[in-house]
Parts: sequence; structure tokens; C-alpha cells
Amino acid sequence: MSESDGPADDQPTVLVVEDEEELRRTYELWLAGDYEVITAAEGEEALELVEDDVDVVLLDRMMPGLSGKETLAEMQDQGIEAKFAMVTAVEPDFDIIEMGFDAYLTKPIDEDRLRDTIESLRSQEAYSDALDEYTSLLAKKETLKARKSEEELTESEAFAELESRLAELEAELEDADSGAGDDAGFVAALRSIDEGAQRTEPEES
Amino acid sequence: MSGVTNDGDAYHLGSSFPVAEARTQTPGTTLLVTGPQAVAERAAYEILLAGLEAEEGIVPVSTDRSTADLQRELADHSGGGVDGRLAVIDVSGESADVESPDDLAAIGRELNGAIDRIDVPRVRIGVLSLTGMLDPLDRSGVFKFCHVVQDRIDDAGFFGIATLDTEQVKEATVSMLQEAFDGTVEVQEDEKGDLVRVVGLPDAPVTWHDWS
Repeated sequence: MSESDGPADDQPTVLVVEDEEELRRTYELWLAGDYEVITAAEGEEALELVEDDVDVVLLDRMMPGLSGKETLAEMQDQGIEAKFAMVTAVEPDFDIIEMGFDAYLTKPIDEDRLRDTIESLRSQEAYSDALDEYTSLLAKKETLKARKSEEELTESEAFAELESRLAELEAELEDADSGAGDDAGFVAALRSIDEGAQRTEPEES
Repeated sequence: MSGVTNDGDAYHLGSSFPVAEARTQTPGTTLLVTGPQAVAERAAYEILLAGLEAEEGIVPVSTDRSTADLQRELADHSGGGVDGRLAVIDVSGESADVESPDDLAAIGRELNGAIDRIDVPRVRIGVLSLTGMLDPLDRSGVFKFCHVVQDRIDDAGFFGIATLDTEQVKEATVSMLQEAFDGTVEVQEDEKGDLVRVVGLPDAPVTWHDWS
């Protein structure tokens, strides 16, 4: 990993959207060692700064101008595929998850909880990517099995590669955290399938 | 993850379950029940209701009939004693729980709610049936749903089953969905009655047994 400040860094990118300057600085300080941190003081600014390579967006719920929820909706309209965490002063209900957030943090936030949440969101992303690929390869495998004879499949190198990739992905899925371990995460994990289904339809041409 | 016979934490499939090696399952296990709709359903009722004796919570997710219908059938099947440890989630659109089986986030929320309401540490979840989800979703969507639910069940140490009607669903789809479960309970019926065998569980032989 290089010491450069350039955008070509390998570190995952976190966008922090928070109107209180002190908090914004604190989060940045905590995260700067391991992440590329971008900060914005309000929703509008965040919309200008956000790019496709942002991995996690931390959105304060109550901000002047665009609220966290509105900012999220705009980003989703733009097709930003980051994971979103809402920072809120009150314990939220599942509605937050159904709005499209993948996690929430209740203020006051400490460094460990912030890091844990971001890591868990990154792991969820890895899980959902692996699950997407696993599912589509599994569908492909079943299609091949239905069309080709057992012998043709045994002799096919492509089929052997497919099988070995499936085994790899299976191991990845075992390791990755789906986020389904807690109530909110479970709903968020299922919601991301819903969205994925809508994005990829129609599939299996 | 399955096939343990001497574990006090195990989930019992009921004393009538004919495959002795598979009669107890470790927490976190999920099984797919495949066969003609009516036979698979009878099997699923047996397996779910076996949890009542063990003071477990039972959460059926109904994709194709109303809560009242399913409760009635479960009560008939159990000989009456279905109490507060049963919470049916109706995702068929017949009631207000969830509008349609493709609203996965809403199903997840209802599942959490039902598990909270029952308030016991051990829970059996049964999706009756996956066939009803394959219409609004495609097989890939249903597979991913099963995978996430399995992960949740594994984390929580619950036990889960789902039924799939092999007469309505292509073989390739059955075979794909099987991959999201720890094992498969295959059922069929002949002139003498119901037959069952288990596939994919480490210690259980793959042979047909009478289930009467």
C-alpha cells in the first residue's frame, strides 16, 4: 500500500456526511489510518463528492438542507452502490433499514463501534457479491446439466472450472458475514436481494 | 452440521420420522422437503409440530394460503394443541403481514417480529412453500433468500425447513435450491402410504422408508 494521497489508493473509501464539524473531524481522525476518508458538511455537498468507488457512506440523519434519508435516496438514484449507515440520535425502527440503509449507529458513537460497523458493512458487501456470483454460476451449472450428458460434462474443462469456482465461492460465503446475525442486518441482507433482483432482471437469457 | 444423535440441544423431527439416523438435527440446520405438494406438506407439518412437545416456537411462513387456513390445518394435524408458541407469517397477500412473497425485506421483518413475540430460545421456521415464491421471484432470487435465511438460522441456532413441490418445478431448479440447505428430505407416496428418504446428510443412508 502506498503512502500517496492520491485517489488511486487501495484503501476502501468512506464518505462521512455530518453537519457538526467537531464530529466530522473526530470520525475522520479515527478512520484516516485505514480508510480513504472524504467528508461533507451537508447532503448537497455529499452528492457532489460521491463517486462510484465509495464503499461506505455514513449519513447523519438530521442535517440542515437534505436529510440523511433524502441524501440516500438521491445517491441511490445516481446508482451509487455503496453500503449506507445512518447515524441517528434516537434508536431507530426497521423503517431505517427499509428506507435503504444497511446499518445504523446511535449517537454518541465511539471509535470501536464505528470501525466495527464499517467492517461489517464491508463484509456484507463481500458476502453479497460472492452470493450473486455463486447464484449465477449455480444457475449456469444446472442449465448445463439439463442440456449436456454426464460424459460431456466430465470431459468439459469449462465445467470443471465452473465447479472449482463454485467451491471457492462456497468457502468465501462461509467466511463472509451476511450481516444477518442481528435483526436489522437480517432485514438489510434480504432487502439487498430484492434490489439485486430488480437490477438484474431479466436474467438467465 | 447435522446427524448428531446424542446432543441435548438437538431438534427432533418426531418419533414417527422413519429415518433414525436423521431424526435429530443440530441447531442451525436447514432441510429442504421435496415431493408432491400434499405429501411434502404433511411431512413439513409433522416435522414442525414435533417442536411443540419440546417447548419450541414454531414460525411457518405461508406463501400460498391465509394464516387462518394454515392454523386450522396445523391444529387438525396436531390433534388440537397449537398454542401461543405458533406464529404464522402470511406472505400470500391474503392478509396484511406482507403483501407478496417477493417482498423479502418485509418477510424478514415479520420473521423477526414473530420470533420476538413467541419469546422462546428455540425456534423452528418453515417456509410453506418455496413453490409459491418461485412465481414472483425467479429461482436465483429464491436461492439467495434461502441462503440468507439459512445463515440467520445458523447464527441463531434455530432449525428450518422449506417445502418444494417437485411436480410444479423443474428438476434443475430443485437441484439448485437444494444447495441452499444442509440436506434434503425427499417424500413420495405409493398405494401403501408415504415414503421418505434423506439426501445429503452425512450419516444417513439414502434409502426409502415407509412413513405411516
